[in-house]
Amino acid sequence: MDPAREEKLKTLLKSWSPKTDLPPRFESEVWRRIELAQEKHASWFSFDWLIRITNQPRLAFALVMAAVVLGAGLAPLQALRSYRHDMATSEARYVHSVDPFSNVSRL
Amino acid sequence: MKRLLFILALSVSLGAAAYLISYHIAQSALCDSPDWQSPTAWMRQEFHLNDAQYAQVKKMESDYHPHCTIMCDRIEQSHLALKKLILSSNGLTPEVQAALQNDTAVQEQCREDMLRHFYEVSQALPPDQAQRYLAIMQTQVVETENASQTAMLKH
Repeated sequence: MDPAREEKLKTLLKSWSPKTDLPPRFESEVWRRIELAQEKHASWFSFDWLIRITNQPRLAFALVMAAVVLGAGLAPLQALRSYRHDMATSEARYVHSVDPFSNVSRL
Repeated sequence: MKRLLFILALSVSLGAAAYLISYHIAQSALCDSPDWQSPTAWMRQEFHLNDAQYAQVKKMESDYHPHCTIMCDRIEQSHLALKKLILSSNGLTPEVQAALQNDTAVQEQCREDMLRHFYEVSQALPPDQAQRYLAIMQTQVVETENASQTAMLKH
């Protein structure tokens, strides 16, 4: 490039400043993201992945919702299992109460 | 780190709350028998009895129970007498034969009484459930002691 034009471009760039309004805490957020990106890849067991997730509102919300869905989904299965067990116990109790042979002690 | 702990605590709390609420709803939907400890509670649940039918079955069972206890004692005494004779004899003596016959007669009588009770109870059930009840209970009559032991072991 022509040195004169290059100098002109440099001056122009130095005099330019952005006119847009930055969101609050923009700078600190940028630095935090840079720090996170520069961190070495964390191992699965160090839970850094969890910290990263919780630092992002959408993922944190998804994590909470996953816990709710898991809790609500497991409960009917457990209730069914418990119900079947109670029914089996109750059936055995009934049979025991009406069958004289089941009450005979082993001689 | 504070944020992580907060999110984790929130997840655990809401997950546990969802579990408890969902468990309670599922349990209410599955079971409408308040007295699981009663032997007849299974009847109500398994054969979908209404209050009147359940009360009738419950009364029949409580009327039958003393007779069942007497039958149980008779079987036990008969078994015990037979066992004593077997151990005190060297062969199939007329006394052992008589005790054996008596034991068989007692068992047969008890099976008959038990089957009669099953038929009576089945008549108190809704028609579509009566056959199912008999299908379940016939094992107790047909297989007597083995059925009872299997039922107890199964549960």
